[in-house]
Amino acid sequence: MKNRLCPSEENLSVYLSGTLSDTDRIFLEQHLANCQACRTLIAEAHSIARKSAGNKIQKLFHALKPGALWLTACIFSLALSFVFSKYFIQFLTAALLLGIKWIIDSKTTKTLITIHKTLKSDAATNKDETFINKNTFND
Amino acid sequence: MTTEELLIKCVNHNRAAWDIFIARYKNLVTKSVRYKMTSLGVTFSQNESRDIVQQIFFELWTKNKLKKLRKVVCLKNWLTIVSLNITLNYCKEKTFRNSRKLVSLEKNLCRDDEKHEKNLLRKFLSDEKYNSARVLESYETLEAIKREISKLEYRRALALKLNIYHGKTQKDIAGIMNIPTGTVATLIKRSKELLRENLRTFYENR
Repeated sequence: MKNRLCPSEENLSVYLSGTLSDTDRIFLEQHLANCQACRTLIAEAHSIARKSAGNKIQKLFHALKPGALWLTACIFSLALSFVFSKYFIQFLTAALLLGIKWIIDSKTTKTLITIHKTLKSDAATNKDETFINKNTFND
Repeated sequence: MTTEELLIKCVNHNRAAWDIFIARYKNLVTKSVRYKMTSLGVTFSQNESRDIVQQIFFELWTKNKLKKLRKVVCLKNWLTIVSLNITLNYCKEKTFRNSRKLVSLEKNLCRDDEKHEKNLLRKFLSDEKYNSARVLESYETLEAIKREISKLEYRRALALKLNIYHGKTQKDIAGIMNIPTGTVATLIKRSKELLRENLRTFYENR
């Protein structure tokens, strides 16, 4: 049960983040060694913080751009091909496919494709115009 | 908006900033509430936990508790601790009582939900001969362990209590106490040795 001698919630949080001064730290640790309520509070807060940190990794994974995700999968598959030598070809093929997917999905490739398509359509228009011009000339 | 700016606006009772604050930290508070209720062994409904979350934010707003916070870095830890405390008070009000039961030798000293078989009460008894079906004596042993741990130096006692009663690993304890894992390992090992010696003396002198 908490009593008046227990440190404030703020002091406990500062201690947990490791930024408490040495004198306060000694005093607080002496208290924690004898106070079950505060110790439980610290232990539970630490558990929650640790679980939240675990979620951060998940968030980071979700925040990864699709392109980076393909590249990661490609590298992972390549690494696996060396680990499991029995399925070397399978993992290598997967790595190759993922690599191709990464190249196709990348922004630079998309820009290049767009430029190529535009040039192609432009060339087709020019061809039509030339054909029309030729016809006009023939007429 | 940075956390610092957000906090300043919240302290000045800015409604929009407060909405952002709630959206940003609602998950953490909910998680803390649920964790506390589970550790207390209280069955709770979704509505109940939502009520507590609401109560926490309401208290923060009306009592302007954020004003007390001096270091922004500790905000998450502070919010977790505040949530845990408010949940505990809520559960106490709801006629939650800790009943004193007979203690079995198979009692796990660890209160955490994770399983730590090594912390069974019988494993702390000094000798095999004291392990025979002396279930009624186990409460006395429990008290003796508590007393002997309290005699240890405060850092040893803290590390050992976190390890035994709260089921924390050496890495966790190092994180809490902000010291290297190796130091924690030494502290715990030496403390356990001392504890065993003291308990043996206690049983022999009885």
